[in-house]
Amino acid sequence: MTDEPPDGWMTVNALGPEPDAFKLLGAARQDLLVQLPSSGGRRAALHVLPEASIEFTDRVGHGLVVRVEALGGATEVRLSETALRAASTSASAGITPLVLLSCALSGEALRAEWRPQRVGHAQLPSQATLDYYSRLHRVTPGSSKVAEELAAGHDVMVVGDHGCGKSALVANVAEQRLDQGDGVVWLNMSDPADGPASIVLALLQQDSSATGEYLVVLENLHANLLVRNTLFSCLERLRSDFGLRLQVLATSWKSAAALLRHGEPNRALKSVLAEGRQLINQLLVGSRLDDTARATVRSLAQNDAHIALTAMELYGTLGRVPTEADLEEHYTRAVTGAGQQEALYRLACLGVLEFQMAVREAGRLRQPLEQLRVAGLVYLIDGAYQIGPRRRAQLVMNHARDRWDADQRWHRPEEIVLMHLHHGGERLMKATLSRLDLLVSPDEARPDSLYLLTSWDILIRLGRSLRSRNAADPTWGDNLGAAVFAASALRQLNHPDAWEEIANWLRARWDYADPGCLLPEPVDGETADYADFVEIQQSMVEEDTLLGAEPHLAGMVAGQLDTGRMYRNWVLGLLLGFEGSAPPQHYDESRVKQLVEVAARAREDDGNFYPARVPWVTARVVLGLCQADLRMDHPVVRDACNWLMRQVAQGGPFDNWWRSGTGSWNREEATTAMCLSALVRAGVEMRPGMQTAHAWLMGREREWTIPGREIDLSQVLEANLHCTATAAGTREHLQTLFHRMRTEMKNPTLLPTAPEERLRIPFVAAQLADIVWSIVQMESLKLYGDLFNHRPPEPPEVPQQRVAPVPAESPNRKLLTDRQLRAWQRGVEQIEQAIREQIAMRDGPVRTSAMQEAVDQLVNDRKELFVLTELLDGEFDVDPLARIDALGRRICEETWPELPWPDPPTQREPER
Amino acid sequence: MAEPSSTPERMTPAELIERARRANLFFRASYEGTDTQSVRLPGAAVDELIQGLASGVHSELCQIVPYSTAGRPADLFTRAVFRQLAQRATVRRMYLVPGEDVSGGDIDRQLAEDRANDLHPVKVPVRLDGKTTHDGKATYDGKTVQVPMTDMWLIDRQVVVRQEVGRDGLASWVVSRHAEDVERAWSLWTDLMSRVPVAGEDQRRRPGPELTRSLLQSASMLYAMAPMSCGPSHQDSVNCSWYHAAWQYLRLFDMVSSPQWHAQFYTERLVEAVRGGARRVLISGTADYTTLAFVLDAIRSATGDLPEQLDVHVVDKCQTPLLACHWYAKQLGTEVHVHKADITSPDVVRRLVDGGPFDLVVADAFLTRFDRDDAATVIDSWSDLLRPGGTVVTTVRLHEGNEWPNSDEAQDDRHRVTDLVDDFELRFRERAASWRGLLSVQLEELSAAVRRYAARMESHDLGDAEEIRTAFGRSGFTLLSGFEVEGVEGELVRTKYLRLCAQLSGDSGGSGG
Repeated sequence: MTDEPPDGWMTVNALGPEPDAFKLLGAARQDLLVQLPSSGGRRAALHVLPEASIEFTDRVGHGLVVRVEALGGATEVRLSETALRAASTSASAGITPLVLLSCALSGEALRAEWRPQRVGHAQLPSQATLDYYSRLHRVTPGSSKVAEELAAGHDVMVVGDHGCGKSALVANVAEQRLDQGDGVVWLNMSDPADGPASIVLALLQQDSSATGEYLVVLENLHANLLVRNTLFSCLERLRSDFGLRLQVLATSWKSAAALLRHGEPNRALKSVLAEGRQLINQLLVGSRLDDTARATVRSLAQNDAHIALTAMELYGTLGRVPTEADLEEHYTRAVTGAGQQEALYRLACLGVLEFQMAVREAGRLRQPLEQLRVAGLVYLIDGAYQIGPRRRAQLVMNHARDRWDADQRWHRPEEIVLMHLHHGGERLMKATLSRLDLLVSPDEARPDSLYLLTSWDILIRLGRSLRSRNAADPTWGDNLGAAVFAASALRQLNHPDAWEEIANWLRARWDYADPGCLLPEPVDGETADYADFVEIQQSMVEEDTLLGAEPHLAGMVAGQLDTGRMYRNWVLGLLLGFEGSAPPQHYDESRVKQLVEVAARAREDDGNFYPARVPWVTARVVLGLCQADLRMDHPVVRDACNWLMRQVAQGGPFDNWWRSGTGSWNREEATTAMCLSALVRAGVEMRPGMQTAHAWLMGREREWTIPGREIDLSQVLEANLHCTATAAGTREHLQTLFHRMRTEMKNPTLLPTAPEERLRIPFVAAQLADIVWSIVQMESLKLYGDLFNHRPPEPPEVPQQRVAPVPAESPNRKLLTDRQLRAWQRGVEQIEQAIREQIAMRDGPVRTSAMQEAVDQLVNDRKELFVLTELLDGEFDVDPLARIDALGRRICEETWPELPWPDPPTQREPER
Repeated sequence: MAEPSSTPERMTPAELIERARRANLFFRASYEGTDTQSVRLPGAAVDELIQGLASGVHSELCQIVPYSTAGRPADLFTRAVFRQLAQRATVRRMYLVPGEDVSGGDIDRQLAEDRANDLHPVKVPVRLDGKTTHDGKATYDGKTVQVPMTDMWLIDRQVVVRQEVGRDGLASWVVSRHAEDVERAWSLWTDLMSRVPVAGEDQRRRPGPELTRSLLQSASMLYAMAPMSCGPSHQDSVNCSWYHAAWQYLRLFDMVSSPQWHAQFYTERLVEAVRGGARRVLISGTADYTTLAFVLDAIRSATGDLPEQLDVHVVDKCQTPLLACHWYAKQLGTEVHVHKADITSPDVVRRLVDGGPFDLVVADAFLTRFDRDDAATVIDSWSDLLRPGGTVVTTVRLHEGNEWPNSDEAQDDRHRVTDLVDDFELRFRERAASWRGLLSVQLEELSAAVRRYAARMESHDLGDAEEIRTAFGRSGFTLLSGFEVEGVEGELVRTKYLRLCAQLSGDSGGSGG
């Protein structure tokens, strides 16, 4: 598809295709000057002098030299001919001449390899949003501290949790600054295209401020930590080159702020904590609500000031404090039709993770979203639809799942988020992965990286490498295994066209359409990797020789092996996986159905797939069936899994781990990893036998980390991830895998005698992609998972004693010292974290009723904890302390510490 | 799914023994492998292996031996067997010597001993930092491959025997007759042979002292010592052991800022200063002994001698680098004075200057440990410590020269992954992987230490070159010619450094008065 020419290049585009350098530069100069906001004697904060000169030089190439100045200095930048050509011909990036100048001024090197990429626009929130922030804002200790630090000339970062009123606080400062004649640049970092060039562009476009001072607002800095270095370097350059008096006021999570303070280089930002609780207190002070209603609002809001404000506003209409259900109704009022419901639900799912939906990505949802915007249910800010604060997104999402059957109709929330990441482009993906890598939660930075971003980088490279190899030969040397694993990786890395090329070959090469066929049949002779199975048989012969007179565990000797049958069973597993995980546009349900039917015919009486001596063939078929979305409730899967878990003595392959049965052609570690992965993916819960096998596998670390065994390593990592549901044991070994893969990509060392060498890159790429997605899902759920777990809301009971005046002589009333209070607060945080993790561990596409019950219990526990936390103060009843203690013991088990209990209150001195 | 449970039948002792034998067979099948063209043996089987293979050598045995593994008592049997073999076949032995300088007593003595036993030994320098052609890499099939710093033998150019070092540091032996293995081994051998220094030819070497073997010795000492000897310092106001523990391993693989990145500048400036009469020298802030090594190298170059007692002083807030300096000086048969003190403290300055003003202050990339105010105090301290006309030789990192990789673009060859800490760690692993056998600390442990370093390292922005010149000017210094800004590889990102030599004005009595 040809790219339409972008806006802003009228003169350049009038030149026709491939103009010579002189004409191009002259036309580009004209286009640039047209875009300058110079009418009526206005002068921009960064002023472009009209005398842009054309420079011809062989040394660095031709270019347009532009001089830009501000009150305190000036500098020249060079827009290279290659960059001008690239920008003026790519509409998708929308790089106008002024945007290109911003890129150059922000420090981007416009070399020959420069690629135009969209630059986000820094825009002040709309007047309606500012008005809303103004309603929300109150003077709090946090806002006073911000004013104090700014007055002292510091750059400030306002940190706090969702809904604490950070943005309202910042908006209030920004409005004050505007009133006093300062310039304000407002950049919401949620758009991954926002960065240094966005700030420069705003300064090129806005008038020079009356006072010469500028406030740069960086909202949600935690949303894109990747740009932090280039962003701050650019701000420093604007200060030093142009003498601009810039002050930074950022908002962020506490955890991200710590990263910036302790980074390299050190960023001198003063952190100020904004607390939702304080803001809600201030909001309530001015309200007409009585104490009981105020307590109910506090409980409902859970420190989210936006919810508190809505609740107070609804109080006037309803005559009572709304419940969560009322809020859900309120935020979904006037939604009509499936289109609007879907649009609002999808936006809510994204909003829970602070994602937005850019207008250009909205597609068919654009119209319903516009209708929702008009109805005041969604906002359009900075070219993207948003639903508002996270808690509101959560309420809307819950409502949609309860009332509109959203999970069934439009996917589960985490699936929607993953799809959004898949299609959101590389920058969104990288920004998100980086956040997961660096931050455990809004409050806590991660001590060690999860290597997700690095995995992604490696995968991108692997994807490119696979794609180029695929273009040269989509049959992968007529090697079915290599082609299927390459296809799996290419699909996951968003190269559906490359997947299709493989499919075109593979679907013609293997046939299973005959309703009576027992196994897939090759067309025009065996595929090349059949030769491996001949060698596998030789390896089995060697194994038999080593083992001596007694036959292998399964009783079969190598000479009895039907190699063709074994190969076709293995092919069956691969084909199932290939078709079962086809990209949506290429998914062929009839093929999947045929293959599942073949599997039902091919299985042996006891559930295994031939040969019983080689359990990895059965595991491969189970994995393929899982990719075709079948689980333990399907008889073929169930019987195969039961067989895999059967002890050798009972005729199965399980001997505390699984032996390959093919000598060292496939090692026991890889076989065991594969069997474990198959069982867990099929939905088998970790039973003692599987735990033993997992323990054995992890103890064999020395073997699967040996250089050259990358296939084993990647299989073990995936199995470990499935078995433990945590990335903790995986990250350590990912480094080894990265190192090997990078070396391999730079210097392929193919040894045709080893099967692994032929499969290595495609197989490891496919595994790595699986691993990354599993970790992303797992960690996202840990970070946000409790938000995705939901049952219809029931407003928590508000204990009367919370608001009733407590008689001074209450026998249970005790005093907590500051130290004791801090210990109990830490305990509460520990319980919260444990609940979040336990919910996340139980989440996922497969959920049994027992798991659902456990999740419900945890959700109730969290509600109780919240009520108790509200009561936690220096003066405290013992009973709630005992309840927290009991909760801690039950949830945190042996990790729950002994907490300090308060002493009875001492007789107070009478006031004099 | 129910798991079958059954009570096993009671076995006789003989059956149990038989079971054990069968378990061993399974183990062997798994460990040795079922490949007819190769076999794997545990490390403990080395004597059996050598005994078995030596008698099968027909005409030639080519051995690649990392130098530090030579001469261990445990190898005496091995060496005896190869000496016997040399009586009837050609035994060629290639020692891989870490560093650029292969001249030296130990290695030459080893070569002489080998020759006396009819072996044909050569020595090949292998650098650790992953640069230039002699960089620890060889070529195979036109591609660059890492030189494995493990034993490898080629028997009659038909069978390869190589060590396989596991993650736990234990070695296995793999014997292979796969054509690709043999071809690769022969290619490595011929490539390395082309690097054998020719006697009498000028061996070009980078400026500055050669420290590779010293670092190989001391890196593990600092790693172990840092948790005990580190405390509050300019790197960390609580405890800098994360910094000093990893430091020398990072130096070994050339991944951190040190005088080596400015070797020519330091060498020229220091030699010039010593030739100009500088004898009382102060090293102000140091991570290890590298700066000291440059100073001692300059003294030796300029005077042709390294006296047993030197008027060289090292001051640092942390004990660890001071101990390292003390150790290094002793290796060279000399002594220096070390002071655990804070250079920003006026009392410390007074105490140091009591012994007489200094002729020369050397400080490598030290100023950016401080914010602008404290950096000005440090420059004032130097001014107070120097005699009029005395000089400061230093480098200052310029943050405006940071080349942050663009996270949107395809990563260049240097920044292969977007996350800079991951990138740093991966680069370290890449460089250190084949040296695993020579490192006393496990690679995984080191990797974690390296990561800690990269994540915690902080550096202050002191402004551009002009601002730094102004800061020196305020303390009475004049910058001498050679004030230059140079780009270096940097730690996390490519970086520019200001290299400067500043002279205290003759009329300056020190800023502190």
